[in-house]
Amino acid sequence: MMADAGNDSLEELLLKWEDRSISSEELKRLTSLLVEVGARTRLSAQFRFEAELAQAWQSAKWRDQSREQAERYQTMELAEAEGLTVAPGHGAIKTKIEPWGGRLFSPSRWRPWKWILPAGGLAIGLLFAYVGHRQSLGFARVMVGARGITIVRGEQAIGEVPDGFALRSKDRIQLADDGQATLFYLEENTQVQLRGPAQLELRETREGKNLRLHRGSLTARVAPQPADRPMILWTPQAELTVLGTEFTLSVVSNATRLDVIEGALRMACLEDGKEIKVHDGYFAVVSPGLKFAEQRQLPEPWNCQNVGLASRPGHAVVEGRQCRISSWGHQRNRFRPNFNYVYRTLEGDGEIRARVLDFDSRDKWTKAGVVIREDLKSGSPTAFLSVKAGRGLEFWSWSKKSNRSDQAGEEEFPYWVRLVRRGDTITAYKSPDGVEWIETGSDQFEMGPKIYVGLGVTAFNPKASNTAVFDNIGVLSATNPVAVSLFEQPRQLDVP
Amino acid sequence: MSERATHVTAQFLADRHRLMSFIEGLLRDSAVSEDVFQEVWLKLARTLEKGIEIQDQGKWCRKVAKNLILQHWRERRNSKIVVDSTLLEFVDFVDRAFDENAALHDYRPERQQALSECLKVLPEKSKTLIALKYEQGCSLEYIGRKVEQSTDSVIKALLRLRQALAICVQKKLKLQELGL
Repeated sequence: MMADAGNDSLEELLLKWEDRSISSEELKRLTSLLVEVGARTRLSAQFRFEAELAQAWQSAKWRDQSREQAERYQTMELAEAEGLTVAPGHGAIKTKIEPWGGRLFSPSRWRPWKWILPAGGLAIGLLFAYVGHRQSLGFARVMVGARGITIVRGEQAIGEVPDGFALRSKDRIQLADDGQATLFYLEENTQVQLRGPAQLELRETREGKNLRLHRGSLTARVAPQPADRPMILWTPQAELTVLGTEFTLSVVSNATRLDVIEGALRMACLEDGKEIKVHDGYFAVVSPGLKFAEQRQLPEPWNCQNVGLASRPGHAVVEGRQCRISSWGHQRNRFRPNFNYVYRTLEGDGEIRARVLDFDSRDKWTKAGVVIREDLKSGSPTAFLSVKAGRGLEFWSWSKKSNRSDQAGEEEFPYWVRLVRRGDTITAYKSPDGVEWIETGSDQFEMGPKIYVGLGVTAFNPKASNTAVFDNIGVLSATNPVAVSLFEQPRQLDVP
Repeated sequence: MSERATHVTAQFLADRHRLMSFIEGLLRDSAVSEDVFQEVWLKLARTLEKGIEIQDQGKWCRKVAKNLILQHWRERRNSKIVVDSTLLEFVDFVDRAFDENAALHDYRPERQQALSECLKVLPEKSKTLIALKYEQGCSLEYIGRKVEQSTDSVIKALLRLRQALAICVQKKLKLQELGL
């Protein structure tokens, strides 16, 4: 079974390379061996096997942990079904005294392992049969931090839902007004964030994942699904086919709205069977009397794009009178201009103003505010007046000649911010009410007549998005003195 | 998304296992490997924006990854890796190896499943070795001290273990192929 000395030499040297204990002489020897095609094939095979082994080991460990958790819950449920009660959080079983089973079940003969082992074994056996099947379904589980949640299983309502709770097909998740929950699937990177008030029903079948959103709102990031087993989402008005994408779905009274963040989805109207494809940056609404078609999430002439580095594309959507902008961070974000930018062009002098209303995280590196740039390239001169998710305001200006970041106040959001361009000077203002403005700083920029004005949201954490909410967004132009908001029709305003 | 963007993205996703094997095989650090992987994607996305056509996307991505990896090694102060001509030659050979054996790195879930089943039936000592190496990322010397063996013995034990697992996987796949 062991290979000869020459073959061992290559694999041993590769192991030392992996271990970083290879000497320079050994590395030379390894390199000289790789002149042969056969040796390179063995190197490829070894690299692949290493990656597979690491992944398989981690997956097995993760499944073991999940199985233990599931076993604990299934043990509790099996015990309850047998007329036994379980002390929560302990796994110890107390018995009811039954006449026919008196001798076995009497407390004096009670041995917990007699019940836990068979029940656990049965649970493990069921789980192996279920999980080990090649076409096995990923279990959906409730993530940490769920609140205001009730799970209805058959006729039972489960109010105490701990972290990692295993869901089943036909479970109904109900969220109170301020409730929230995140569902994730064990065997793939699919997450569903649910916001209350909401009602979601899970129906897992061998044909794929099926979710029914009766009411409420969810945002889902769905890992690529097999083409013959897509995820299907139903609402009272529409059916969506999901192959792998990120989107938000909302159901209110008699309307379903879909916003696609990344990828694309097929959406069908249940009433007439009409089907459309909705792409990222677009939304569609199914509701009686409304045109069922793909529409831009941002009204013309506004656009959205990432500036600089981001682990994933950001997203922006207009909701009523507010604009919600999400940004994904990058570890190298700290000292470079990196943000998700919602912008439009402006000719000549003018200004952009907005109120930073809210953040969904208190990450100190998350900032949101107004931005003026010369163009959309990463090295473009930029002025950015921002409110921090933690506390305080910052005026940051970047050009070929300078890179400054100045504290502009200690205020917290919600707060108003404004940037005004006059020739080569950009001045920053802040306000508690949008009426009284206080100058906080200014800088010189050599920009052409055409500039880009808009809203920016930064983030640092590459593994989670940060979202900021803006309202009262307005753009004023000196050459064409008409205020243009993100939402309103143009109207006359005096330029200060 | 345009048709070209869809095509480029789909190809990148299809190649991702191969690219990650390449990156992790050289870097041996999963956090840095993920950084490099994302950076390659960002560079590809920028190239797409500029409308630049790429002939062989897989090769292009590996080239970008290679440069990022070399840059990472050069920037690290306490690295055990010295970027000299031997290392550059080694990295080039690794790139060639991936080029010549592209199909070897296609993701096959049945292989992964077979490997998981083989891992379950390993004896405890072997599982300990795997846990120390792949879960905790311990060095060979540390593993040797932990299991009270010499480093050379640990190396030979790991190689035997890998061979045994490879044979186990091969057998399982064969059985599946035969419908057994």
